[in-house]
Amino acid sequence: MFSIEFEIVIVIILSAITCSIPGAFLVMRKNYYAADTTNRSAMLGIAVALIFSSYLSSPLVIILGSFTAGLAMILIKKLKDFTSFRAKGLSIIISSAFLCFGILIASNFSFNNATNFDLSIIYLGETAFTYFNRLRVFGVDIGSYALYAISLVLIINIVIIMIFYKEFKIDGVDKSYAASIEMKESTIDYLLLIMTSLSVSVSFQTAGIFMTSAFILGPAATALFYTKRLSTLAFVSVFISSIACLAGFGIAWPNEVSISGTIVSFIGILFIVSVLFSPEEGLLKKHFDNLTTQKRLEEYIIMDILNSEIIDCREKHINEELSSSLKWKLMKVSYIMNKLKAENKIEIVQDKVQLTEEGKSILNKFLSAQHCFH
Amino acid sequence: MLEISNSFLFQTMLKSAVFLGLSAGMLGVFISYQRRSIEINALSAGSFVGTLLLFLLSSLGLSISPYIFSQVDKHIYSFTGSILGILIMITILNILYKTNRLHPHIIQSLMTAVLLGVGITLVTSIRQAGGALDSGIDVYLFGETTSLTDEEFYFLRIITVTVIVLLLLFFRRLRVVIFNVDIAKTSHFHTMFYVHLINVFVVCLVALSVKLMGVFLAVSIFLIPAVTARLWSNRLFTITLLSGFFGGLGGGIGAVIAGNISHVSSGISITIVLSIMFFISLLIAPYKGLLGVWLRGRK
Repeated sequence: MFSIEFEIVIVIILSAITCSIPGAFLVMRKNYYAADTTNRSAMLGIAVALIFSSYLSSPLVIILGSFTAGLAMILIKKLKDFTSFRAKGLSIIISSAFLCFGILIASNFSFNNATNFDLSIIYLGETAFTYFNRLRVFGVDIGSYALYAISLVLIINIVIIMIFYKEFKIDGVDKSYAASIEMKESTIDYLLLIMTSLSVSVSFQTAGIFMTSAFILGPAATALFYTKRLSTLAFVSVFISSIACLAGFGIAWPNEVSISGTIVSFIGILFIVSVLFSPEEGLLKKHFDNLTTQKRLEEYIIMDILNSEIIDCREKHINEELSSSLKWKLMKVSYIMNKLKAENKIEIVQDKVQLTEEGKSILNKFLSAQHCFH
Repeated sequence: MLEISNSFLFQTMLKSAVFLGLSAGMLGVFISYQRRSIEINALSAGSFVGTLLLFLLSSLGLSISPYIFSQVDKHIYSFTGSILGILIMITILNILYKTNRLHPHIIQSLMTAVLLGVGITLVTSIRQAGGALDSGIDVYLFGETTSLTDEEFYFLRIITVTVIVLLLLFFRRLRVVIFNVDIAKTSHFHTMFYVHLINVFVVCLVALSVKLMGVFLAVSIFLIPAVTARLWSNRLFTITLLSGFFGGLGGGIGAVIAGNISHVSSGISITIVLSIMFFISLLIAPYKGLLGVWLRGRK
């Protein structure tokens, strides 16, 4: 129907959007281990499903994969209540146990043993292979199977969020308030669990079970640098993931390297770039802010000294007086004095240095803002 | 079905798995009390990328000795690369922890997946350039016990003895450092020395365990014996000894299984043995086990 590149790009972008929607809410609720656990423990279900069915794109794979992913998360929650361990440590143990049993089953007992089916498709993902599993209705080719499966899960995700948006928002921001209005926390937990495990088990073909956690967490973590509203967080993370998908596919397709690996490394590049250069919380912005606040503080200190007239304020040796009393260098003091003079904050009246009216009002405003001086 | 053969290869494999289990299990207790056990995931992914980058350099012809470009040379390059990758990863993670308001766990799991993606891209590009990695990607992902060279095996033995001796020698000070760094700083000893001692051990053991256990399962040999030992006792000294015992036992049984069955790689079998030990002791452990809790609750 479409050209092969177009169909693959649509599958990639849809799966990235599907993963990034529950990711935004996971990051909001500070429930980070869910992303790692679900995609590793989905391996057991996929392996069991491969015993019964012969190919990866069958509904059994999605059902069993999401079932074992949910089972692992529920097991962690039950074990956390019984023992004193933290959830993250337990999640690593249980998810790696599920993963290992899955690989054992997949490499020894399942269908691929006879046909030498390459298991690294499950681990690392191969998006181009989704094109070859076509869906036929009455003998007519209507597109690849993965396209329809992914868009079905995307619709489920969107419907769940549309219905329960208010509950998600309240529960994500303030848990004690949510408990006080008798909202059940467990329903929100299970809804998120259903969304995450479904989208993981659908999109493991495009990204592989190990890199899906970057698809889930990466766009939301990047979007947190630009916005604080929940609704815009979801939209910005969708935007970021689709940008990464387009750029990664554009580089990977002509060079014939792994598509999923390139996309995930692009997500990482976007994260690092926004750590460094984001307009509100970037490292560079913080660095320059620190520099300017320090310089301003020095100006205010000198203005305060001139205002209180503790020292001899004659124009001739004002700089030497200030530098000896503050133990600053003479160059620094004279530079700041010249700057103040150029900004009309100080003036010279009868050989004495004084603050102008403008300078006094600025200084008073600054002092009243600092509560520690009162 | 399972037998311990006398061949040199099998003996080396068994010894390396037992040594790694012993030292990593003892160190894992200290790491898990410092709440850093998830960081090992990210460090092993970093060592994966470092190995591949130095491998690329060596295949470009930048050899140590210009006349002999041997297999040994490649191994030295890849091991140096893995240690460099872990060191760079530790610095990046520490910078990110300090400057972000994101939780450390999110940074760790994100950087793991991202570095894995970079590594996969590098592997596929190396494969295209020429058949440098014929042995397949499974060796990197899930480990191979026979992949240790002679030099690395000597290194592993030295590290094992050093870990056991130094951890028991500095036990009382390390105990203060891992539970609370601030209290340790008020006491009169050099705190950062002990923190960096643990860091050095982590770097060496992660680089070795990535070769044996694979990128994803490298964390399991550190974490699972420590958690299993914490079920059995409440004293740190007992926990450390028990954890080393569990790690060595699991590593040995796993290596025997991996040597006898053809389709199983060593990381998977060791992790399965360790997790079975965890679930059994979760059931029957005297104080914290589910069975004991249930019996006590019934009375």
